[in-house]
Amino acid sequence: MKRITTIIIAAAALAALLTGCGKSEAERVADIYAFFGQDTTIADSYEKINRVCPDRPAGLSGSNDIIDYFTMMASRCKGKSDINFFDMGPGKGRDILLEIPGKENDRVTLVAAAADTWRDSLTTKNDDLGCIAAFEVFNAFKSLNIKPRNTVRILLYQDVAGTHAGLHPYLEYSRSKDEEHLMQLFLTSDPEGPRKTFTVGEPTSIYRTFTKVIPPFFEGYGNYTFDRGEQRFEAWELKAPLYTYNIDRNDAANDIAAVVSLVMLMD
Amino acid sequence: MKKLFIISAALLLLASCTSLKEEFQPVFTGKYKEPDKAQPAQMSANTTIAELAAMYNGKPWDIDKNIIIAGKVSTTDKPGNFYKSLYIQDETGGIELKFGRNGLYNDYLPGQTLYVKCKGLTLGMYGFSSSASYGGNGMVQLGFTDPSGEYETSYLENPLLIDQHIFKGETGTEVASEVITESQLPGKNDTQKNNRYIGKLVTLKGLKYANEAFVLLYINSNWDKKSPQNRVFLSPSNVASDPTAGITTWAMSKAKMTEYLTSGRWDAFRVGSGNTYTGETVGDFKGEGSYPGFEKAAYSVSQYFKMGSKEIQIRTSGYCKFSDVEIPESVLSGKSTIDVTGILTLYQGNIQFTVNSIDDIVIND
Repeated sequence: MKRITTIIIAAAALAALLTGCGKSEAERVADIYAFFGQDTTIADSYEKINRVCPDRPAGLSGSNDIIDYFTMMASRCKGKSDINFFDMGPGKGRDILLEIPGKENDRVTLVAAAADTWRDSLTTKNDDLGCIAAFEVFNAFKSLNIKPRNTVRILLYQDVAGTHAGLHPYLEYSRSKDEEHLMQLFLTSDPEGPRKTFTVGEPTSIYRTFTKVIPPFFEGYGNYTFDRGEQRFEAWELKAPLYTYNIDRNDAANDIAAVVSLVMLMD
Repeated sequence: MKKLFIISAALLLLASCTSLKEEFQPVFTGKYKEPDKAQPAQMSANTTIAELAAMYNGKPWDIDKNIIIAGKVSTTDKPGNFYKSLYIQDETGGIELKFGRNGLYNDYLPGQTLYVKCKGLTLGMYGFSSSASYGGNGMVQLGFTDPSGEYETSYLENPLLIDQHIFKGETGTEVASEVITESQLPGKNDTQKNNRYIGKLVTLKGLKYANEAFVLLYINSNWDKKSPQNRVFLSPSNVASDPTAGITTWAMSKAKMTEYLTSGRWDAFRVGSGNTYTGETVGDFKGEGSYPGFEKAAYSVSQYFKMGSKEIQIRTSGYCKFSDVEIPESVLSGKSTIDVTGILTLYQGNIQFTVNSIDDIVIND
């Protein structure tokens, strides 16, 4: 019996070693950058999704092909995927929700992007890489076997430029689960938006501690800045600090590595 | 044929047991390398807990001074009655550190000294009420600024950020409770500044059941929890003839809660807050054998006791391991008193008492 126990413990220790358990945060950041640096996933995704999903105006309808694409991609991710939809009725569309349950599953880190404004759409535009980046948070956590303490949830939602209608079903869903959100990170890819800049919507005192602790992890990977931003996204009353980041399409892989790293560090 | 099969199977089983027996032999008798011991923080406090609490001036303060307090951990979240928080105490008082984490007992041991670098944290109060009839102070506590603005402090969530403020010192002996008398209990406007027992582990002796309980139910956990339309006070102020609402446990788990609701025991209780009632009762929400929205959660219960003329609410979480433990009949009938050890706190000027475990409640025969 002792031998069996010893074998089980040894196997668990080996598995933990191989899957990266017990690594420091800095080592994990290095892993994340290496993960995005080694392959061409992002460029492939960008090209593929823009071939699959044509230009569209902002709104509730017409983004089902985008949702379908990410659903298909999520189903291919390593490990078990938890995929949900919010169907907002005939002709209106869906939101997609990908989830990696945390050890403390009543606390959520939300990573969101708009799935209905695409390239040269009429209003808000160019959220394609925002969606890819949000999806890649899910993919990277799965692939690198990062077990979050809090639930990491990816939301690709619709009607960003209108009434944010796509966010409301999510809010109801979350309320029904009596959850608390620790942060909400909104990702965009506006060519006219800021570069290499996270906006951090934390209260002053937390922001001060944040700027002491978090930026050093990114040294050596790029010249990132962390500006204090709006504390909340009033459009939908989610009571959590609002973070934003605009992906630079000329350096998308590194930017997405930065986003994944931030989500991991803030967990 | 069948017999032959059974005999063969039995022989095979015996053989496998024998081989398993061999497997049971110990394979390693050496000594594993001792894990590296974490070095306790070498720091010293420059402010007492009472001095820090005295700096609270009625609104949240983002601490901008180099204040360091130190105190021993006096609570454990292992049995679940303390949840995502712990108390530390020094000679002058105790204070709650709001951690947004479970399983704190693994990281912060009872009796361990913690040093808190307060600069960058927020000093706030939870549970203050200005009501003339029942109002008073709550508890001064330490956390981060609440981004939602709903509370004066929020939880310390992120381990990297927590490590900038909380430092683990020596693991010492567990905190010994101090036995206090009725005259040493705090008044409704006290804080750690003027009552050194607030927030500390103390023992109260000879408490007598006051035949009163309090539970705040929500009709729907998705609705506004402050709205009178969503609240039911199970209390004597609601149904005077039913001061305990029939609750004979320290708290109510989800299962216990459902049991009470579906029995119809609370149907007469009115919906509303305090003296504002909507005209509806719990019974109006009865569906086909259920009460939608009511039975989603476990509930904390305040059981009222008297220490001399002072009222003590023993407040217990519905999620703790001993939530459904029955209070002995001899206590409920007033024949027996109890001695209780726990953290002394104030909520809206009332004394609330929280025990670490059921072993902290001793029945006097």
